[in-house]
Amino acid sequence: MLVTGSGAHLASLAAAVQEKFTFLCDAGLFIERPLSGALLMPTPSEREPAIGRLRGLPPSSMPEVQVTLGLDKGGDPGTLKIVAAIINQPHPNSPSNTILVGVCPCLDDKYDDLALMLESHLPQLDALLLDGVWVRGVRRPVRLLLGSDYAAQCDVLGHKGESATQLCPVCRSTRSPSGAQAVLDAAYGTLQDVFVSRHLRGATHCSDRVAADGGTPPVREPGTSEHRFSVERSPLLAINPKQIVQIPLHTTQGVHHRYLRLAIEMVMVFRTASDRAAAGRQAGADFALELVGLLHDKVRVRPTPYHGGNFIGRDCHTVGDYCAIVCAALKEKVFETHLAAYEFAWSL
Amino acid sequence: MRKTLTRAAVIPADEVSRFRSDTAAMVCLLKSSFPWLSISPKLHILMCHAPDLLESFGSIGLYGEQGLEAWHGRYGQNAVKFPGATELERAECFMRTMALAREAGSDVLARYSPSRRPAVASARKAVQVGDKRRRENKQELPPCAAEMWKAAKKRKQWAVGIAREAGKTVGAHLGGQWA
Repeated sequence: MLVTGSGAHLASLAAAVQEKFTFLCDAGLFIERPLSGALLMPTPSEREPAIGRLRGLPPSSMPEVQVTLGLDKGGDPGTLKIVAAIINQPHPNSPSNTILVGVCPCLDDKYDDLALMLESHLPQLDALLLDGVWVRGVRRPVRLLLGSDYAAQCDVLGHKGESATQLCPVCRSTRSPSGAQAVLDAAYGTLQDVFVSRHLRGATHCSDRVAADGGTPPVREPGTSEHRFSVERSPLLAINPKQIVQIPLHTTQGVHHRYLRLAIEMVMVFRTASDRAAAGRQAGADFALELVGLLHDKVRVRPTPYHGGNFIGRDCHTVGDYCAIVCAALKEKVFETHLAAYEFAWSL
Repeated sequence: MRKTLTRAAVIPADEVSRFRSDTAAMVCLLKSSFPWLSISPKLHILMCHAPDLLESFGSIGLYGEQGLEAWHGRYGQNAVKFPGATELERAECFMRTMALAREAGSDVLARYSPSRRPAVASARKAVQVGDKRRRENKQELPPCAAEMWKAAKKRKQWAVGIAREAGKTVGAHLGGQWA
């Protein structure tokens, strides 16, 4: 184990991953996770020389293993945990089946802090991606995926995050139509356009580290706006945008929170249409109190003091299961068309 | 759709295609029915990228961040066992223990873990409806006043926060009418 100013770290991530795979094979718990769809097709990076290619993106013809790396700050006092998960096993999300790579006490988890925390692991990770792991006597390449929440993903990729013009780390869409970014809006579409096809970011957006290792940057010079697309700093991890995990936990929580907020907005809009704005605001505030009381008394869920005060974990799913109670409380307080759409959205 | 997104299992092909159509339908419905609703990054991820990842990898829940989040709980629960002058010392102690625990694989643990004998066949079980050992027949503990007060305060905070957010969104949509 390694203790630095940034935190306590495993001395060798590569050895820990290899040991875990050996254990899984010996115990007969190793599971193949075959890919399908777009990732099976030969990508342009596969046709390029190896030095310009992103590591962690093995050719589709070879059997591989999958490893997810995630970082998240939490707890009080705050500590950032770095965790590697081996996907080729029955329960990859169980904490006992994951590898705790590092615990770093920190106040902030921005790009510079993460760079320090990952300093000792990046060479290990490179070695792991370069050498692969031994599985039943055969060396297999590692497909690396990026876990974490949205903020941590953006920091690892050197992306500006929510404030960026192109705020999605996977595609090039802009936030919303604006005069200043009209050219980008026209070329790549905005998040608000729901009927357009998306322009995915190329692997080259995240290949600065490859360039630093002696490879040729495949598109433009790093640092130009054409190259980065809101990726303002050199990515800490060179990861193909198609291998960024779509944060199912945070997405579910975020979408449920948005639905509850939407209920209050519907009440405000309805009341404002028939009365003054002040009455609309007051009606919304009153309904918010009524809603949270209802969720407490009938659904038996409560907001947590962390995760932005959302309903999390089992509570989050329970709210979804008892959405009929929320919809019933909205009757005669919102427009009929709004209520019908709201009920249908919950049912999906 | 929610269960497809979070289930830690390989999803069947028909469910994958249903997920794609459901997410698209949901976001389009919301956008057309509620003009003030802005597509947030999470809604965008859900509609545009989650179906692709699901199609490629066969699951999203398997790759989720549950395991990562669970470590915060484990760290917090065990904080008392790992005292230290600084947070770094506590982290070091915790890391060392976890690394050693990882060394003890299931074969080692099975050798040393206490084995539990099955219950005697004649042991009394709570099978009667009125049995007081059954959870539903147990008397509820009286609620703690301090806990209730704290929960009510949190609910109020949540309501104020969400109403403020909603007010801003509706205000931006209605413009002059809202002022």
